[in-house]
Amino acid sequence: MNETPRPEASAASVFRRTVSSLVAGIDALPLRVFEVCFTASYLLRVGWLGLWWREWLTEEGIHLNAAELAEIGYAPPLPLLTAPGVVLLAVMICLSAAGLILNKARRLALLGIFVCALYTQGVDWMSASSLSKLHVAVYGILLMSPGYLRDPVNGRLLICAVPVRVIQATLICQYLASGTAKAFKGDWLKHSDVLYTLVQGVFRTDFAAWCLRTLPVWSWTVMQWVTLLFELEAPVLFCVKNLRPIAFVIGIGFHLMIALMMKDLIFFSAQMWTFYALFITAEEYRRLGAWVVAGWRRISGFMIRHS
Amino acid sequence: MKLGRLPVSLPRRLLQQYNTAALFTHRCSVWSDWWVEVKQGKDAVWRGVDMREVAPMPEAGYRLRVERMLADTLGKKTALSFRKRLAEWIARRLKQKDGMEITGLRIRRALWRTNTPELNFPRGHWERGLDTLPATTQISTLAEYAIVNGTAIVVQARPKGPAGTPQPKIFRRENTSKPAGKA
Repeated sequence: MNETPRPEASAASVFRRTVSSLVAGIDALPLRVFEVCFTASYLLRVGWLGLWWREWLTEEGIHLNAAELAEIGYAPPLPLLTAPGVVLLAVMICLSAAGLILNKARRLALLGIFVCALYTQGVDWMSASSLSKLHVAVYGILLMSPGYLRDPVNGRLLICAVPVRVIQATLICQYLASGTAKAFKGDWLKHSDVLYTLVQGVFRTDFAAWCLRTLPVWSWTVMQWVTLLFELEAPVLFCVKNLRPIAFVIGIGFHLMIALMMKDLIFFSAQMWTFYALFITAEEYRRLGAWVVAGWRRISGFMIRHS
Repeated sequence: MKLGRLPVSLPRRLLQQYNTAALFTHRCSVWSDWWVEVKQGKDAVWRGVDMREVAPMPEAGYRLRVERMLADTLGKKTALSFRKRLAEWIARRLKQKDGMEITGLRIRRALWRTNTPELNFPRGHWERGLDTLPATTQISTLAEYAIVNGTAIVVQARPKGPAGTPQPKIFRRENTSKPAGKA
């Protein structure tokens, strides 16, 4: 006789599966992709700032002192560097990033890049931003997390799910906090032209200028509502697997528009996109990889036959 | 509902990490633009300095890092000492770079109103050009100094010009020195 499953048993099963998805060992491929992309975005950003290294990191530039920073809510600055010190910092950043990307001496590389991220943020608060905070937070999470293990059966890298879930939650909390601040602390529910006025200012690119000249005013209100709803509904869109493609389409498009319309915010968009790597499963990565390899073989075979 | 404040007091470094996401929350009625003017010798004509030649590091958008420093310190007690230091630093930089001996320096700010043709129907990206200013633009002089032997002597320390125009909220920072929840 078939027994009807007891409700308590299925609730316990759901609870076990939920806890397991949060803390069990999982395939580390998404985290590896994220680590590589996130570190690449960090190198891009630091490399960009490093073009003005004299003003940024040395006494040659003008800097706010501790009292001036305290009055505007910042901690005292970290010590500035001399030219040899800047070279040392650059070497440390490059070596740490290389170690992390190639997964060599990972713990040491994480420590190095975390210290560099903390330093490049604290040495000059006026060039730091949300980007810097996320660099520090993510590398701090990875530094405190258990390392990779090898699956004895198939040799694949495994990782405890906790750091992956924490970083995924960081993205979702970012969006939710941003949307909540816009809706409840800001003007986004009170005015229909908030986005319209924001695009007109100091961030305005040539593309933004073309959009301002060309697009009807009501389209900016539509974009404003799409942005706000996307951020407020991020927890649902990213956590429900069937809705994730919608999150990807809107999110990637949203950050692409930010990068195109607002000068220098490409670094912010690139950083945000790296978080999306964690929401693609290892199986999906392997299918994508197999598809790319198969396509490359077909193209190279075609070129060889016709050369 | 008031958000953006934690129920506990955090060390400043930690609070900076928390306050990451709440950006671009307010409508902008004005956008501010900053520039420096200098004069040489007994010549009374002020001419603009391209700050991209003096302190070129960008901050975000078309705004320079130095402009962020001016914006963030606006209205603070330490603004006077910072602007004086900045004036002396600019005078030193101009002398080192171009051999210019300046005798006067002033820091000016323009406030551009949004939803005016210059901003909502622009020719291109944000530009620093101030050859023809629209009538809606408000100009104020933040500070003026006489430069004597590399030292800045205050001629005018406090903003002078159209009053009552607030800094856009996007660039305002909350004073986190008081614990949240206290009056």
